[in-house]
Amino acid sequence: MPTLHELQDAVARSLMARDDGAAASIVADGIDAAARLNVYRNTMIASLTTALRLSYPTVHRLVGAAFFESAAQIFIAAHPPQGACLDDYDPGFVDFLAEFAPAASIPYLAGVARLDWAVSRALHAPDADALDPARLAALDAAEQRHLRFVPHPSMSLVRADHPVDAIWRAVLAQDDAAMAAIDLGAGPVRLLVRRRENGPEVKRLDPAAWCFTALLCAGHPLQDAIDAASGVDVPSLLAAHLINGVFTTFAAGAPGAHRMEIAT
Amino acid sequence: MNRRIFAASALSAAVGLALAAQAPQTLAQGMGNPPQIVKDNMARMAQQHLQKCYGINAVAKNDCAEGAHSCAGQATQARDPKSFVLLPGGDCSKIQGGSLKAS
Repeated sequence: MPTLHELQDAVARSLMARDDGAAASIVADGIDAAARLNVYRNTMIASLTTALRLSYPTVHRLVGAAFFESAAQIFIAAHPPQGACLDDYDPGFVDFLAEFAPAASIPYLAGVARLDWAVSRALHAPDADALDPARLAALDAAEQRHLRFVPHPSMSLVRADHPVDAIWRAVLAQDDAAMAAIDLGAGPVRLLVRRRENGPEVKRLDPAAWCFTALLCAGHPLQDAIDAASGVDVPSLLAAHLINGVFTTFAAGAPGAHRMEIAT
Repeated sequence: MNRRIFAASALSAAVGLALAAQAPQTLAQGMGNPPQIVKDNMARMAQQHLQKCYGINAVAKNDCAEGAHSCAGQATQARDPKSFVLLPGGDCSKIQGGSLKAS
């Protein structure tokens, strides 16, 4: 009689490695043990494929259901989920697609996948109140020097070599005219992705503004971001970010001496 | 670095602008409305009060996919990836000017 742990290991091996050693511990009762494990395995693959399809809807439409399912199966075999929450499954699909030889004829696919994932993250991120700009007015000079912002949890910054925002919009809207009008040679895009009240927002930023925003979102002090970003109208951009709720709170004070302001 | 912008002055200008403009949303909201499918997802999340990460059942990602079958896995035959010729067959053919070379 195997222990529960041994049995779970055997079933996991059966699901992932198609090793039917677990069949010895399964009562046939109408359907034989190997067929029962097969149902389980197919259900697992089908639900993980569905999870990927829901997280990467544009990729799914671009390559078609058959290609997507096949690619997903190869990915799932190599990258089983690391947690129970399938909304988190799986950012690794982006890198997988970038290296996936059958997709090489679609050079923009990984960029589209990256945007799909960012939008999916934005939709599932927890709610958080925007930073009230008035709280910043109370900082003294030393605190301002070391000011670091905390981005909204739905925020991410995406850079892609192709106009993936136009592709994303046209494909999901099934707008054939817009798809035909896309210029793949238009150069890289830098995007800010986040959730708003009525849905996700995918907004283009110019390279300098994107870089400045990325530095702030990565937790660099405001002064460092200002020094690194030339050609940015810092007051206007920062005001726009504050008005749009890009940040939820801030830390003021020298690194190591955190005086974290907690949003209420 | 005599043209260096200081955090303090940039910040006070930004806070001033933000407070002045705070009432309505005055800045551009990006490029128009999100696609319908994304709105549908949002509506579904709101309608069903979907919890975002409390288990594997969130957003229709349940064991038996979307209730199509009492046990979807039973109906789905796994393809053998090695014998399947992978050719993308979706909307990518509608986008012109694809190139394998980096632009």
